[in-house]
Amino acid sequence: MCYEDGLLVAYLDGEVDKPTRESIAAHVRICARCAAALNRLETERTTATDALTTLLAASAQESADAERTWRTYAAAPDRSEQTPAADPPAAGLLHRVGRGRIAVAAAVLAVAASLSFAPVRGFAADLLKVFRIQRVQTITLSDADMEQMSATLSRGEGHLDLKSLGDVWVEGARETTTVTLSQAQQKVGFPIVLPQGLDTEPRLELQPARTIKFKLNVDAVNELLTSYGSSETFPKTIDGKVFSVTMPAAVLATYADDTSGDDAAPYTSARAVVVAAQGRSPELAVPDGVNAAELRDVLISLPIIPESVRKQLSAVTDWEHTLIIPNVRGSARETTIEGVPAVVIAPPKPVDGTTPRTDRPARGAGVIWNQDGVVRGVGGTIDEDAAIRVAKTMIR
Amino acid sequence: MRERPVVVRDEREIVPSTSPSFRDVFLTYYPAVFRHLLYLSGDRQVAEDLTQETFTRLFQQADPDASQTLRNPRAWLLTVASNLAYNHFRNEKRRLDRERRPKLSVLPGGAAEAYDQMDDVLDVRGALATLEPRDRAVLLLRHSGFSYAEIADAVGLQTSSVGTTLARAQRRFRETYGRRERRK
Repeated sequence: MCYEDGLLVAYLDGEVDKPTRESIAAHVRICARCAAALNRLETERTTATDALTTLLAASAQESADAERTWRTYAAAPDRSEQTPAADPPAAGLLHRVGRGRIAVAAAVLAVAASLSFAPVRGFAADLLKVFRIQRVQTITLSDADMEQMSATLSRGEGHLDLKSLGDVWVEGARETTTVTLSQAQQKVGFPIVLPQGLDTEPRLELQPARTIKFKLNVDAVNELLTSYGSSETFPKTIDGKVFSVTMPAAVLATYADDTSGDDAAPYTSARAVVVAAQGRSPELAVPDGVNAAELRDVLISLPIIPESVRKQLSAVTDWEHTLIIPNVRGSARETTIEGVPAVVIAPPKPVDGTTPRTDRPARGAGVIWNQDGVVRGVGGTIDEDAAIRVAKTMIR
Repeated sequence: MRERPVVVRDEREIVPSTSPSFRDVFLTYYPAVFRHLLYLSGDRQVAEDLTQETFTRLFQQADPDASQTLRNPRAWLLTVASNLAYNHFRNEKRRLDRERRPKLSVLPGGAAEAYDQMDDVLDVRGALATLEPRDRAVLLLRHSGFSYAEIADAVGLQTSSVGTTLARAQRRFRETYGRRERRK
C-alpha cells in the first residue's frame, strides 16, 4: 500500500505513531515511488525550513518592550493618552532580546550571506588559481541605487527558464555538531579565539567544510544578460567549466542568557545571544583556461549595477582577496580595531525625512575582520559598541 | 471584567492596577507573543495590535476559576495569537481580493523596514503571500515548532489533516519561493 503525501510529511515530522512509522519505513525501502515522494517532500520541507528560519531570525531580533506596552495597555480603555517616551532599557551585554536557537541560525545566515559575495568578487586568474579573503571592505549603496537595481531586475524578469542557467551543487556535510573546545581545535587547524568577559559559558558548534560548485550554461546566461540590457557577455570559454567556492570548517561559539529556562518548549522566553564565529578564509577556485579578469569586467559592467556602485567596485584594488560588504544607509562601515581593519555591521539609519523610532533599541550589530588568514566575526542581540568591545577581547 | 482600582505609580502617570498575576503574565509573555505574531504577519503594527488583542482575550478569560488558562499561559497565548493571525490572513485575503491590490502590499512596508527587505525576508514574505491563508498559517506554525495538535487547535483543522495541508503548503511554497530564488 502506498502512502499519500500528508502521511509521509507527518512521518518526516515525527508526527505518526510507532506502528505507522515502522510500516512507512519498511515500505519506502521497497517502493521506489514512495521513496521518491519522500525525497521530494523532504526537499520541499528543507526549503521551507531554510526560508522561514530567516523570518524567525528577523522577528527574534525585534525589540519588544513589555513594560512600556503594559503601561499603555493597563491604561486602556483610554488609549488616547500616550505614555511618555521611556528610556530604552538598560542595555546589558546580554539583555533579553532574542531566542538562542534562532539567533544562532541568524548568525549562520549572516555569515553565509556575506560569503556569498565571493563568486562575484573572485574571477581573477588565467589558470586554476585559489584566492583567499585577506581583507574586508564596504561599498556604499544609496536608496536610489537600490531602486535602480530593483527596477532593472524587474524589467528583465520572466524572459528565461532559469533552470537552464547552469548547475549549482553543494558538497560536504550540512549538519552542525556540538563540540568541545579541544574537538573543535583539532578539526579547524587554527587557534580558536573566544571572547573574554562574557558571563556565561559558550556552546561550541562546528560547521563542517562545504564546497559550493557551479557550472554555467553560457548561452543561457548571456541571453539573460542581454535581456537585462547588458552589452557585454561572458566568453564562451567558461561554458560548462566548474567553479567552486570552498568554505572551510568554522566554529560558532554561542553565549546565551539562559536564566529563563524551559528548553523543551519551542517558545521559551526572550533570550539574549552573542555569537562569535571563526573560520579560515573561503577559497574560490577558477577553472583552467578561464580569463577571470574578463569575467570580472563583464560582471562589473552589468547594467543592473548603478554607476556609483560600479565606480566603487572598480576602485577595489585587491579585489581578488577582498570580501565586499554592502553598506546601505550606514549599515556597514570600515574601522580599525586594535590596529586590525574591520567592518562594523549595524542596522541602517532611517531614510531622510522619516522619524527614527525611539521606542526600540538598535537591532543586532556585528563586527567582522580577518587576521592571519582567519575570518572572525562577532554578532548577536547587542549594539555596535558592545560588539566592538567583544571583538577587542578577541583581537588582542 | 473585574474592577480595577486606580493607584498612583508616580506623579506623571496614573494607571489602574490589575491582578498582579495578570501583570506578571503580560510582562513575561509579551515578547514571545509579539515576536510570534511578527513572525506570522511580517508587519509590526499588525503584530502589536494582535498581541494586545491576545492579552485582552486572556484578561477576559482570567477570572479566578479559570486557573487552567493560567497554568500554562504561554501555550494558551500562543494558540490564541496563532488563531488571531490566521483570521487576520483570511480577512486580509478578502480585503485584497476586494481592492484588487497586488499581493505584494502585504509585505512589511515603510522605510523603517528597509533593513528587513535587504535580507531574504522580502522574498519569503512574497512567496508566503501567494499561499491560501490556511496553508500559510500551517506552514508558518509548523516551522516555528508547533506540533500538529497545536496547529490543528490554532487553525481549526483535524490533527489528521495537518499533514496533507502542510504537504501542499510546502510544495506550493517551494514552487514560488524556489522560482524567486533562482531569478536572483
